[in-house]
Amino acid sequence: MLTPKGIEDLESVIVHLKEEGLAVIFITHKLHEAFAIGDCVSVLRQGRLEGTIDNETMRRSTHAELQRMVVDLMFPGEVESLANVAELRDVSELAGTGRKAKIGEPLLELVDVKIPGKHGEIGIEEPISLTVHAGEVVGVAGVDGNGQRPLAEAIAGQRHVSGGDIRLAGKSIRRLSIGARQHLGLRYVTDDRLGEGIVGALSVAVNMVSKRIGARPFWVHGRTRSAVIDKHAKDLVGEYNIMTPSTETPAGSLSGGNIQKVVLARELDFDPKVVVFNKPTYGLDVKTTTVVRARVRELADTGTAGALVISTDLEELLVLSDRVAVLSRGHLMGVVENKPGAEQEIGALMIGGSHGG
Amino acid sequence: MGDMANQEAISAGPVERPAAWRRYGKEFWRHFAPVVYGLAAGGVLLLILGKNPITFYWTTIESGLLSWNGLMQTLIRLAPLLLMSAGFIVAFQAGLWNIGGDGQFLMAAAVVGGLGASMVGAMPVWLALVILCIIGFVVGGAWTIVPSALKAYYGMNEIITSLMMAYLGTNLANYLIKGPFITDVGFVPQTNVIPFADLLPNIPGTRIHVGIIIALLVLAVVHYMQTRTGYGLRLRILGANPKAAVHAGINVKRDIMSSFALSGALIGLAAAVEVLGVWGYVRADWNPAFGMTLFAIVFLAGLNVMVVIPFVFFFAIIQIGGHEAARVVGLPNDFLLLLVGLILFFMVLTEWARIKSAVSKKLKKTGAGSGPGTDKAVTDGR
Repeated sequence: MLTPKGIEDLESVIVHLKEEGLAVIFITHKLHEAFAIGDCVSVLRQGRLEGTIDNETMRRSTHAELQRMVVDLMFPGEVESLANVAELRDVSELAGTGRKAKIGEPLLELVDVKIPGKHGEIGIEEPISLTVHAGEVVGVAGVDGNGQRPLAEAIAGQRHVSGGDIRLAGKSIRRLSIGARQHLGLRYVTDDRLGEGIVGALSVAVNMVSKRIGARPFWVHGRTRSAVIDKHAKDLVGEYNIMTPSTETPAGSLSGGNIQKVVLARELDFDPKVVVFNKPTYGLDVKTTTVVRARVRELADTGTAGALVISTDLEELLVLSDRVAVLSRGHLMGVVENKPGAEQEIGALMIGGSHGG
Repeated sequence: MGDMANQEAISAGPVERPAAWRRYGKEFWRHFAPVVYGLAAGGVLLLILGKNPITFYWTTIESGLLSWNGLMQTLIRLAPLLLMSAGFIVAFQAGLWNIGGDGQFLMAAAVVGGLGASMVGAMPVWLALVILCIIGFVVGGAWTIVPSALKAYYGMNEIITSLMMAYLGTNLANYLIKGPFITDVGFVPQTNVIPFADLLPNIPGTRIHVGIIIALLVLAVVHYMQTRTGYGLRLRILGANPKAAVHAGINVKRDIMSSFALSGALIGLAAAVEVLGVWGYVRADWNPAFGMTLFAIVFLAGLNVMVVIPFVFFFAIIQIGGHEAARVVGLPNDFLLLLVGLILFFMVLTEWARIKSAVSKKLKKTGAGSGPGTDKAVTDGR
């Protein structure tokens, strides 16, 4: 994850390389970066070259025209519906957009939590405290591998904390099992979708209830009620617009975006109180990304639930969050209110971290 | 393995859905083709050895299936083999490699054999038999506690630990028979003998003991458990993706312990049925070593307790009829193991060919241009 300052630095390095006479190929999914850095832009889609905007056209056209051309190459016929996607806009325009005024009771409280890292991974080394309120989305910014996964797993119960306390709606959940935490309304949208999020060999329908095995109405006295499970899956497939040949299709054969929708449908079902999203749109196409982000914000906007969104994507955090916490080398560098100019503050905290560590 | 076939199904259009009988036919052939190839290769080998393959196979079928006596022998043998297969399948489906089946079998056999005669003498025979079956079940299950606890709590590889426990079990069973349970009957150390009349009753009109019925009932229950209960689903998730099991909040330690124990218990029950149905006693150094061959067979059957029945039946025919056939053509019994080995070899080969053709079919259908993991590829395929 680069800070806005870091992107500027990268740009100047590339300009420098060009002056030295080198050719540069810059691959990105952020359109404004492509325009800012590239002299010409090519669009790849599903392994095919969809088209190239040459140097001449690049110079002649306005930013808006270029954007339209590229989006049209990427998503033929869908330019209008994608007008406001964060990927197409500049960071500074986005700061403050995620902020909502109404914040309720504290739902998730981390109090002086310390989490050990595994196998040389960076854990949460210095006690951190962080609160997510009802109706609030709290973002966690930082470069990958700076303690994000330990944090998410510790909240979900997949990892022990070595100090401090975790509370859900005022009640300590530190010693509760993963299942017990889920039962209380804590959900975890993992960033390891294929590795642990779903069981690829099992059907979409079964994956949608894999965290409720044994519970009514899907199981009665331990017996599986396939019809109920299937009906439930069909409803969710419709609601989340999941592209699958059937609910009996093995979940692992769906596309990444549809797998994420299956995971999302499962986690957001049955009245969640707090949902931890770990890189919820990582590796997804722009359309699915918009859908996922809308779901995150909707969840908090009900006013009864909160979300913790861990992301390496600054745009994402700015369009979703009320506040953004910055994590660097396992330390909480600070928490920034999402308001115009927030991107600079977040960037400064991240840089402070890299100097300090 | 299943993934490939399913991906293939996605890219196939809805119009091409084959009739049910054709799909079952294909499925049947997929499981059975290696057997046919293996037997054919075995036939070639017999020719090379200068033996008549037709005589060999015909004698096998005649004395294992077509003669009334041979068929009864085969069905009697089926009982422990089926129960043991069910035991292996329960563990393998949960992703647990219970390699120690023979140890669990022999421990249960030794205890049941050792206590059998005195228990039958001390109480109504039916009650003694029921209790002895339960004892076999419990001893077989108990012999898994060490490997399963090490697996659940310390993540130790159960292949190693269950194999070690198999050696311990084999020798401890021998010790029990030569030590506490020894009698002065016979020339070889052995346990006391349960009177022939007090063994498991026969199915009326036959000399087949009721073990086969017990086995089929147990298989039905296991099948129901695997396909229709939450417990069965938890074990399947554990087997398919242990990390997903943890993530889903499944109590992984408890399920590892319980499924491993159930696996051993079914194998112990197999031993009890064999001892109480056929022998009435256990001799030192007796080891039918069913386990190693059954591993292969349960995989041939795709870890399905219903599909495993015909395979085990077939294997029992080879075991019973093959002895006679080997004698007739003048080959050592080891030739039977060679046949099983050939079948396994072709099983691996056909599975490899199937995956390969599924992949190339898929590439042809979607074209080289579009990636497999995109929204478009999936929607186009509908």
